[in-house]
Amino acid sequence: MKKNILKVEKLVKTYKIDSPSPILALRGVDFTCQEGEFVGLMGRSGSGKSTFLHQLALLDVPTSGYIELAGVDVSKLSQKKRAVFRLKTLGYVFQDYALIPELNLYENIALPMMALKVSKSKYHLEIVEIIRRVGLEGRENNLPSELSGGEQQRVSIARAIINKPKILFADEPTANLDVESATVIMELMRELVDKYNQTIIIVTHEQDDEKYLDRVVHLTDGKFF
Amino acid sequence: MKLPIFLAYKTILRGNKGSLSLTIFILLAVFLNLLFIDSIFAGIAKTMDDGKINYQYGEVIIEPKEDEKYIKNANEFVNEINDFYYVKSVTSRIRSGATFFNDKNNDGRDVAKFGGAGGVIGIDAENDNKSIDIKSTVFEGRYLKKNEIGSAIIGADAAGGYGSSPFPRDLEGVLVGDTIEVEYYNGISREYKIVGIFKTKNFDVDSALIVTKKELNSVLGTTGEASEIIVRLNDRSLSKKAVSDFESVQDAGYEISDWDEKLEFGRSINKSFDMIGGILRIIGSIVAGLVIFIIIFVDILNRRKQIGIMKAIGVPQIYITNSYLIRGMFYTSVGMILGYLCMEYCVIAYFEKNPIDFPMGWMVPYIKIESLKMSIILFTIAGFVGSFLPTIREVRKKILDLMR
Ligand SMILES: Nc1ncnc2c1ncn2[C@@H]1O[C@H](COP(=O)(O)OP(=O)(O)O)[C@@H](O)[C@H]1O
Ligand SMILES: [Mg+2]
Repeated sequence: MKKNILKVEKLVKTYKIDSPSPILALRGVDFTCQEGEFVGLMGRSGSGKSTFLHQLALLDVPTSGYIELAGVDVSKLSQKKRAVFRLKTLGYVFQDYALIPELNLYENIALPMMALKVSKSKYHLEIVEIIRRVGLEGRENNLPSELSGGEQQRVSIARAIINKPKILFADEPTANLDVESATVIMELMRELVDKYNQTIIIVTHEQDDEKYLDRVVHLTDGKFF
Repeated sequence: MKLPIFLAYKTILRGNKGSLSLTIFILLAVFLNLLFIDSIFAGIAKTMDDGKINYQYGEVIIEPKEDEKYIKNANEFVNEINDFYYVKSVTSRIRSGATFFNDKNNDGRDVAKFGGAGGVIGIDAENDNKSIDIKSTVFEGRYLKKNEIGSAIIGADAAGGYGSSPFPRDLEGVLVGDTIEVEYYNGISREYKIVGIFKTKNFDVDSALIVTKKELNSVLGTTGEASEIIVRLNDRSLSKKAVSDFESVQDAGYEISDWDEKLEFGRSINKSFDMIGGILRIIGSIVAGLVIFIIIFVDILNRRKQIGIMKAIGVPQIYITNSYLIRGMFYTSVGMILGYLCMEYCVIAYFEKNPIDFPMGWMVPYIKIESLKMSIILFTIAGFVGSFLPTIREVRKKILDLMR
């Protein structure tokens, strides 16, 4: 029996809450996810997918509701603890890769390790291994501007998983990519799930992506159906 | 601290070189401006001090006690103080008050009269120059020769007609070759042929007539006495020590003062200069602080997204803040260093070749160590505040707002 690694109850997010026309982006969402599960979040543009992911990944604070990640009630965490939690327990892949332009491929991936004060002698081999896993051997010294979109997204994934997060989030990671690059990314994520039992929650609008996913949930107007 | 330094280093190294150069250039200019204003004031003050020290008082000056006319054993005393290691040279002089007359048409009419401050100075024409360099300020004719009798050199202010002077009257244009009459306070009159005209820009000196000691001794009936002994030191800052050393030489019994005491008058002007300089420095630092603030603020606004990314990853805020502080302090210190070098090796080097012609001397901007220290401290504070405030303001923002 697999255990729940993520539990969400009655999650509400309202933007412009004090204005005359508040935006109800999430209207009481319940959701669970098991360890090693690859879940796809689908829904029309503006249905609240990104908002939902931001709340789960602790990039934002929900208006109300309960979120439990890896057994921790995250509403009780201080600002500082949330940062540490993101660093150690969560990984996030942005649609636009979000790499630091002045750091090369290797340094971008090493960033979370450095933030955890791990010494280079300890993380070096892991980075070499991860670079191999995302298929970018030999590109270590390239700056993000010297990489294609697909390659940048692979660096972004490598950076997100270098600290072995319990849950990996990805918000439309293939939206800016051509079909081939997108396939590489989806296959890479599937491999992470199969080989390393990685839990992944991904937002996608590609119907085709369903074949990689264990489960798909649909969001409409801030609610699951 | 490793990550902040690493981030600052990489972002500077691989960041936009154009904006980096512009940022540093602006900071350089601001610091240069701060130093420059100050150095002009210090330069003027130093010019005045130098003029007094180099042409009038030396670093230490020995004079007779108030109730005595001359220093009696002048030669003996000179020999004694010459032995101190820090003494570069010593000269003893004899002086007398006098009134000068210039009978321009040699007909006893229209006689110009000058009784300015300088009087007549009798010097050892062979050696005085080693201590008080009048020789190189002679711009017409020549300097005095050893033991020359009947000749004199005259200061430009007394001679008249050689540029601005603080005296309301003068001899209305004495030329080399002219003869002037000098009426000494003891009643004796002498005629001197003017062999040279000098201008030190120190009006106490430029209002004097200089003859040889031999000449003046014959007027005053003196032999080995001196009116003043001027001592030049290797190091101006040793003057206080020199005074106390000299005072214990055979219980001197003379009036011994250093340049610092002699420049009372200059001091009060220096003080007001220091005050104006200080005010300008504070204003300059506030402007510098604002410029640094704006520069770094713009820099950070351009890097909001990176701040957001790092926060999203979970990099602790203190690391992010520190990396931008290091960045800002790097700009600030490089700006300061380059600004200083530019001041020292461009501005000052230029003015050393082309000093500004001030009434009291040739002015070269001068950086006082204390002002430099103060400017560095103020600029560093400005750099710190200017880096810290915008950084903390941005770093505290919500991740998603920064990422947009
Ligand atoms: N920061 C924000 N301020 C105000 N409204 C927002 C903000 N972010 C998202 N919204 C609104 O919330 C709703 C859901 O947005 P989002 O989660 O981005 O949808 P999706 O990712 O599914 O396209 C939309 O109506 C959007 O306009
Ligand atoms: Mg979205």
